[in-house]
Amino acid sequence: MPTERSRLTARLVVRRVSRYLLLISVAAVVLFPIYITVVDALLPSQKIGSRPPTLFPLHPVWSSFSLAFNEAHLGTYLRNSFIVTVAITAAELVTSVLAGYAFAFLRFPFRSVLFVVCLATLMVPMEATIIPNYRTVEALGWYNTFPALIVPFVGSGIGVFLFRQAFRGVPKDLRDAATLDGYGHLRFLARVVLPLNRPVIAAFSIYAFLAAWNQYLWPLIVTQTDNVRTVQIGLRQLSSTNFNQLDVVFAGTILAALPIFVLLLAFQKQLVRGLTAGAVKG
Amino acid sequence: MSERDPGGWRPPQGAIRNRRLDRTVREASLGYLLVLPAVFVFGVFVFYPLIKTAYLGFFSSPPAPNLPAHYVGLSQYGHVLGSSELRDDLWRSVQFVLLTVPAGIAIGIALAVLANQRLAGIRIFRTIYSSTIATSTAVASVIFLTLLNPQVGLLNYWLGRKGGAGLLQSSAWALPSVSVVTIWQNIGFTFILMSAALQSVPDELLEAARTDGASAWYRFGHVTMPLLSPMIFFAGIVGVIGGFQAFGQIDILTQGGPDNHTLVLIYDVYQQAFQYDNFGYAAVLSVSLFAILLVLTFVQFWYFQRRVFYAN
Amino acid sequence: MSGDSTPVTDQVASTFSPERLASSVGLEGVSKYYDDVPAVKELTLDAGAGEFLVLLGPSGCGKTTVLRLVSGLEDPSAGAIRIGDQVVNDVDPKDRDVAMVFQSYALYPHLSVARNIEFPLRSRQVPATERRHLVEEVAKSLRLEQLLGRKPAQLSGGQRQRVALARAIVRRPRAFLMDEPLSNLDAQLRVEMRAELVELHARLGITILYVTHDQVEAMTMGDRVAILDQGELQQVDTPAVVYDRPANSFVAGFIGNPPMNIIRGTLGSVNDTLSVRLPGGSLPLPPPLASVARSLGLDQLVVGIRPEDVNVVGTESVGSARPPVEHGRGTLEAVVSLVELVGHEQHVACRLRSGELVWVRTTNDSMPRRTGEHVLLQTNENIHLFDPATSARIDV
Repeated sequence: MPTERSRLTARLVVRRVSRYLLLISVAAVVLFPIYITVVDALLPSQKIGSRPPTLFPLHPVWSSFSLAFNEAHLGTYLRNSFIVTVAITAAELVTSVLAGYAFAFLRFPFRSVLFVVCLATLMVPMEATIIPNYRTVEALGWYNTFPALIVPFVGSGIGVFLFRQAFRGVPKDLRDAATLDGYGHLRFLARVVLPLNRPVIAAFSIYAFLAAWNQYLWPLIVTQTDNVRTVQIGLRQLSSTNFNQLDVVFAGTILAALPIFVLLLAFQKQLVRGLTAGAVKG
Repeated sequence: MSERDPGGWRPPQGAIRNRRLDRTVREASLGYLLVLPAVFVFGVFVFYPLIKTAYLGFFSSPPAPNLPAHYVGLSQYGHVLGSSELRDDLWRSVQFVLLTVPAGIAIGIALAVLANQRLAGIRIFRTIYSSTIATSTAVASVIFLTLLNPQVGLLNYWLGRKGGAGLLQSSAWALPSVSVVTIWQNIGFTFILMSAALQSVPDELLEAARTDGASAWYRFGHVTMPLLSPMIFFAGIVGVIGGFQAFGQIDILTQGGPDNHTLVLIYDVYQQAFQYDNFGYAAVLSVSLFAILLVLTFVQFWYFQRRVFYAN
Repeated sequence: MSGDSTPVTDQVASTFSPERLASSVGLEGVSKYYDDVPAVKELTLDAGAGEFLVLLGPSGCGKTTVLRLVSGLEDPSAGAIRIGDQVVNDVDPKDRDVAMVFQSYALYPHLSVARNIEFPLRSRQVPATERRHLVEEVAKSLRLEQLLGRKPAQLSGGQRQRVALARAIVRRPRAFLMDEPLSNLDAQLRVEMRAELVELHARLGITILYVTHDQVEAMTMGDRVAILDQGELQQVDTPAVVYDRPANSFVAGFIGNPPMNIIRGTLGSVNDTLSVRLPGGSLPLPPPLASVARSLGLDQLVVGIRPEDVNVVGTESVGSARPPVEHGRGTLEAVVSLVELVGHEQHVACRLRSGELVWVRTTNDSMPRRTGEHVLLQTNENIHLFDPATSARIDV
C-alpha cells in the first residue's frame, strides 16, 4: 500500500510540476520581447550588442530613461499623446452621449435615418477617407496642429450605438416620473440617465482612450514636428534617428508603453467586459 | 375661488401656450441639436471624404504638385484595377492575413486552454498572457526592429544569422517576420477573447462527455471547439479586417521592402498618396481596399445581427 | 411653489390640514386617438375637490390613458382637461401641480429614499433647509424615517410603494393620480395598503384619481367609481349605486364577486304574471318592471341576477313534481357544474338548460352541492333588466 500511494502522489506531483513548467515557459516566450527591452534599456549601450548576450543587468544604468525622456523628446511625445487622447475621448463621450440620448428619448423627423447614418460610419475604414481628410485639414490650416489630430475623431459611431442601446434600457416610467417632478431632458440626462449608466461610460471611455492612443496612420501624415507629434510616431522617429543609441530606443519604448500598462492594470475588468461584449453575449 | 377649486389654483406665469405644436417643435429642435455634433463630424470627415476619394480616382495626378490634375474618368479605375501592381499588393495583403490570423487564433486558443486550468497562481499567468494588449503597434514594431537587427539583434543572433542579412532584409522572410510581430502583438487580445469564450463553455457538458468515456482530446475537439466556434469566427473576421489595415508595423519594420515584398495594399496607398503625391492612383487603390473591407464588415455585421437575434 | 408666499411652517401644516387646498379635476369631451385607434372616446368626467374617484375597468379600457391625459404626459386629440377652473391642455406636466404614483413606483434606483422624496423639490428651487424639513415630515407620516438612507433596491414592495407616495405628497399637489399602485403587492399587503390610502385621503383631504382593474379595491376605496370600457364611460356613481343599480349589463357583469349573472330570455306570460321565460324555467317580473317591459314592446330581454339573490334547492327536497311558482320567485332548472369553497361560503356554478352559467352564493350551513347534481335555482325579486340592443338598464 505505501509504495502504491507514494507512486500515485509522485505521479501527481510530476504532473503538476510539468504543468507549471509549461505555463512558465510559455509565459517566458510571451514576455521575452518586453523583458529584453527592459533589460536592454538598463544596459549601457555598448553592452547591448555584445555576444554572448547579457540577459540580466548587473549594474543597471538609468540614464537612458532620462535621455529618452528629454533629449529624445519622449516626454514631449507623451504629453502630446495625453492631450490628444484625452481630448478625443472626452469629445467622443460627449457627442455620443448627447446623440444617444436624442435617439433614445426624443422624437424628431428622420430620426431612424440619422441613426443609420451614425451606424454606417462603422463600415467606413480610415483608408477610404484619409486622402481627402488630409486635404481638408490642410485647407483649414490645421496641418501639424492639435486640431488636426482631434477634430476628425470628435464623433464615434460605436459610441452613439452603445449609448442609445444603454439609454433605451432606462425604464420609461422614470422619464415620466422625472417629467412630473419638473425635470427637462438635459437635467434628466445629467441626474438620472448618466448615474444609472456608469459601467457603460467607463467601458466606452477605456475603449476610446485605447483606440485614440494607438492611432498611427493619421498622426503620421498630419504631423511633422516634435511639438505635436504623438508618442506612436515619436517612437518611430526615435527608432530611425537614434539608431546607434539602442538603450535610449529601448528606454523610449518602455516609456511609451508604460501609461497604457498602468491604465489597463487598473481597469482590467472593464476592458475584458468591453472586448467580449460584442462577441460572447452578442 | 369656486366650489370646484376652493384654493383658486392658477398655473404659474407663462405656463400656458400652444402646447401641442410647441412641444413637438421644442422636442424636435432639441433632438436635432443633440445629434448635430456627431452627425456633422461624420458628414465632414467620413461621408464627404468617402465620396471624394472615389471622385479623386477620376483624376490622374500631375507630375509636379502645382499643376492641376487631369480628368481621365473611369480609365484610371480600369487601368489600376486590372494592373499587376494592384494584384501583387492584394496578394501580399492576403498572404499577410493568411500568415497572421489562423496562427494567431490557434495560439490564442492554446493559451486560453493552458490558462484555464485550476492551479494556484493561475491568475498571474492570465495577466501575463494578456499583457501584450498594452503594446501598441509602434511599441511592438520597435521592439522587434531591434531584436531582428542584423548587427545587434538578439533574435537574429539566436537564429544564427549574425552579420549579413537580417530576417527583415530577406525577401523571403520579411513578410513572415512582420506577421510574427503582429501575432505577438495580438496575443493579449486573442487570449482574452478565447479565454472568455472558453469560460462560457458549461462544465456540465465536459463532465458529461468525460463520464461518457471521451478522452481529453476528443472532448476538446467535439465539445469545446464547436462551442468556441462563434468566438473563433468573431476573432477571425476582426483579425482579417485588421490584417488588411495593418500599417504601422510595416512602416517601422520594412517600409514596404525589401524589394516591395512587404508592400501590402494599404502601404501602397500611403506611399502613392503621401510619398509620390500620386493622389489619383492612390485613390483608386483606396477604393479597392474599401470595397474589400466593406464586404468583410458586412459579413461581421450580418453575423453579429444573427447572434443578437438568437440571443433575444 | 412659485407665487406662493406663505411661510414654511404654514406650508408644512397645510400639508396635513383637513382643508387642504385641493382642486377638482375634470375631463370635458376628451378623446384620445393613437394613430386611428381610439383609446378614449368623448369622455366627460369630473372629480370634485377632495374626492377619491376610482377609474375601474378591464385592461385596455383607457383608464391609464385618462390618467396620463390629466397629468399632461399625453395630449388629448380633442376635448378639454381641467384642473380646478383652469383648462390645462396647454400647460406642461410640471406646471399642472399634479403628482402621479406609478404602478412600478418609478423610484430612482441610484438615489436614496431621502433623495427620491426630495427629487421633485430640487427642480423647483426650494431651499435646502426647507427641503430637508419637508422630506422628514412626509417620511414620518408614512413611517419611512428609518429607511431614509437606503436605496430602493434594499426595500420591500410595500416600502417602495410608500416612498413613491411620499415623493408624490411632498410636492403638496392639487391632485393625486394613482396608476394601479397596489397591483404589485401580495394580497395581505394590498389589504393593509388599501386601508392606509383611505386613511391618508381622509387625513389630507386631497383629490385622488385612482386607476384599478380590481373591483374590490374600487368598491372599498372610492367615494365614487367610474367604470370604463373600451374608452367609453359606462357609469359613474357611488359604489352602492353602481352595485345596486348598474347602468348597463357590462357594469353589472363587471362588479361583484362572483359578478352578476347575465342571462337571456323572452318576455311572456306565466300563470298570469309577466315573466322572462328561459328553457327550464321562468323569472316573474315585479309589477312596475313588468309594465315598463311591456310598454317597451320588447320581445327578448337580458336579465341580471346577483349570485346572492339566487338559492339552490335540491330536487330531492321537493320531490319529483315541480314546485308551484311563488309570487316573485323565479325558478330555473340547472345542473351543478362547479363548486368553489370560499372561506365561509360556497360559490356554485350551475348550468341552465339554455347552456348559460349561473353563479350562486350559498353559506356553508346550507346543503353542500355536488357536481352533476340536478338542482332548482330560486330567485328573489331582485331582478335587473337590460335592453338587449343597447345593454342599458331598464328602469321604472
